[in-house]
Amino acid sequence: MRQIRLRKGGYRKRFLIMSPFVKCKKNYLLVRRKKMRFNKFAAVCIILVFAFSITSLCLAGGKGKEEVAPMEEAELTITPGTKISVFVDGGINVFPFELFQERIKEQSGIELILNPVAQADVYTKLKNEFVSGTGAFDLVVYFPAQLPEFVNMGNLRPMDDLVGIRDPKLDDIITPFRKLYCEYNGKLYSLPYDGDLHVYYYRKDLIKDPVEQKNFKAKYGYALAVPETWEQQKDFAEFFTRKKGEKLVGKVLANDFYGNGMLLGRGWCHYEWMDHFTSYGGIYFDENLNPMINSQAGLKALSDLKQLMKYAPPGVLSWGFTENRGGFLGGNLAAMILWTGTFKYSYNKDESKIPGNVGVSHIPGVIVDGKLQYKATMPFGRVMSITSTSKHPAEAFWVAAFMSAEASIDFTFDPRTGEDSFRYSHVNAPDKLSEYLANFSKGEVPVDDCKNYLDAIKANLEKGYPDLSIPGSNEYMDILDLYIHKALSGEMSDKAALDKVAEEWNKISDSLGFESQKSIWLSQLDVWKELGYVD
Amino acid sequence: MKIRKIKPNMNNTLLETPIQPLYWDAKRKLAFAMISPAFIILLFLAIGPMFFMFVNAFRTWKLAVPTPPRFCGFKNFLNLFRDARFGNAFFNTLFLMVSGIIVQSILGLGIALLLKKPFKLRPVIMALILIPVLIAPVVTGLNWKLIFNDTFGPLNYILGSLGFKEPLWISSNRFWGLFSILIVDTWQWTPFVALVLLAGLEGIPNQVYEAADVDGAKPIMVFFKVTLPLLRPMFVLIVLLRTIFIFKIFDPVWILTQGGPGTATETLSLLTYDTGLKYLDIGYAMAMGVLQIIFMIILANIFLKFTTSSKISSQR
Repeated sequence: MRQIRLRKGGYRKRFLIMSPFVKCKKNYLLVRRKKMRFNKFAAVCIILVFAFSITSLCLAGGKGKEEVAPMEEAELTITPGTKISVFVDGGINVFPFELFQERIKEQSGIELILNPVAQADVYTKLKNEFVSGTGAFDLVVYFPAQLPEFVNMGNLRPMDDLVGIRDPKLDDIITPFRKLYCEYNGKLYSLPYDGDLHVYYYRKDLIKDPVEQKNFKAKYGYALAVPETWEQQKDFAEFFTRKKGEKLVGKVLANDFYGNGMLLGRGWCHYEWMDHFTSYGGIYFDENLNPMINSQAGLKALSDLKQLMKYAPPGVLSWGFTENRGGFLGGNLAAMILWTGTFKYSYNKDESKIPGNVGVSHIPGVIVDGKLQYKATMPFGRVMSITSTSKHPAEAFWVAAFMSAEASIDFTFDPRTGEDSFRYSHVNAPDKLSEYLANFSKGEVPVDDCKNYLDAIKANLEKGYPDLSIPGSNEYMDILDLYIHKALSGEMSDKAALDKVAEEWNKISDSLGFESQKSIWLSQLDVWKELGYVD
Repeated sequence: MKIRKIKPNMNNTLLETPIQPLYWDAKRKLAFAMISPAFIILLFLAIGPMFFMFVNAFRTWKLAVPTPPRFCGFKNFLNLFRDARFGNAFFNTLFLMVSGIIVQSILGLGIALLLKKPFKLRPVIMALILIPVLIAPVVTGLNWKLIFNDTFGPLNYILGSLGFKEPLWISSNRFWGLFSILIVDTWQWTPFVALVLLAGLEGIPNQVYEAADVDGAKPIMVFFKVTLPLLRPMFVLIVLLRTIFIFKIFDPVWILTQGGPGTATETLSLLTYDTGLKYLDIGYAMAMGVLQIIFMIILANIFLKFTTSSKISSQR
């Protein structure tokens, strides 16, 4: 026997339900009423959620390209006490700002608020900030490959009208960095902070050893020297790959020794591939934005990498920057291609087992018509730009100009930072570099070694090959990296992998707007031609 | 004992409970006013963004270009079904989920059985085995990356010293890559499984074992006919929780392999992250998110149904 309340309004009337028929009917009514109550509740919820979502959409979703208000003419004076919010990747790359923030305050009265983020998050976090438009940052440090994208989205403020505030010494910036990293559509948008570039590192002591020289000549028929071509690099790597217990430079090896380190981990391998691809005359797109990745140059580059992998450590498919630097300075590799900064650590005995034995040269290449053709990729790099939402452009420019023109020689030579040379005044100062490195390493650093290093940077810059700098470059390059990695791991054939990259690149171009992508690519190509990087 | 099959009937306990109709009297209004702040926060923080995701899953929205988002119907979903990379990530996630749950349940049960009987160091061991669960997944990933290192990692050093072949754990192929991720996940989550099962074991009344003893059941029979069936609700809970956790697995995969070699170890979370935050293809990433939510809701409902029926069965 159960009691069920049926009437609206409270507990006024109760029925004693006894007959099965009545029980069934009443149960049906109860369930139905419950459902109706639930429906009302659900309807209220849905309306609320819908209202909230529509509001969110209006606030965040519906934004397209914002019309950038014409810049007010900036006052060419700075106000002491102004606080400038700086966005920069953390660790060794925020360190230059930490080193100089006191001096900036002393000289200008400007206070820096540093906002370091992880390197992998630079693009994402900056993009989030630009999409939400909170105006949180005045000065942003980022990778120059994203400059055209940010300019086209109206996120950056041109600097041309601010140059009078503090001389950024534009003529001193090495031309490719100035043309490719700082200017876009004829306007100045950024000042360089870090001049990244690939160089070829090798062990000087191996090349100098008479026994090794003799054995090499006997095996390959030519003198042991710094490899000039990929073919020679393969011989060099093969020759110096030795097993534990064998001899190297007269000493018995305690561990396996490898002919070369390679950047072949996921996210890195396309950089290694690019050094080969570009030396064979490869280019990202043709003038109609057709991907040229799956050309013969691309296939030769993949074939080279597979050859060289035989003389690299077994787990090289997961190797990135740290593993290569550690492996080389730990004395386990004969050569590698890496960014310029590694040389700065090589004299420090805490970090390096091969102090004084690190040679730096240009990237190997191929002989075409009797001439050596090589290219050095210029991956990453960093520039400083002023956001279009900054309320203190004059002060932000003062800081950028100070860091780029005055402080840079100190922080690019300081081994504690991650920044590399980008000015003529840097690459022409071997004495100062030697002094810096000697202080850091607590030992002598020959000026000639520093000169050799800086000359190698100059030689590579003459044949530099910049990152792809069109909107969506992150996606293009990640797809390239993904399929190169698949080809290297044997998941796909070389041809199939590169064809797939081309197919995916076409899809990306279409999804981002083919014509606009093409026009941006062509404008970039013009600058490359002007610099003599492509024919 | 024969377990009766449950039929839908008119005597269902739910229906027998007297139901209060929704009257807007002062007391009820006050109650609603009191819970409304929490409810609104929940709407804004949980349901609102989810709805936002559902809306954007039907739009083409690429942040890399200054074009506004536009409605594209089911295009994102259709592309997903054709996307081999999505299928591969789904397979990898499913593989990790199934293998992870099986391995961790077996190991967890073993540990729980060992810890069931009291011994001197039991409290200390109980505290120690919790440590992996407390460590941030990023730290766990970094530690294991060093352990798995082919050149200077301790694991290969030990294997080499014992005369075994030294595998390239995280850089050779799909098998070793997924196996490495599984090892890390198992190391981190088996203690949690063990503790849940231990709680279940301690909840089984002694009388049941005494009855089995009186009936002359052998230990193996007691384990399979008494312990395991009574642990069933705990196993269901573990399967449900681990399914949810492994479905979202990101940190160890990102740190150990970044989804490589190629896409051999790429999981759904990693692919969604890459699509949304690296390629900035918001619409497509949201569509991936929606499919994952639908899949999880289906799985969760199956498990919950299973739990409910197992509870009712055990009550009867």
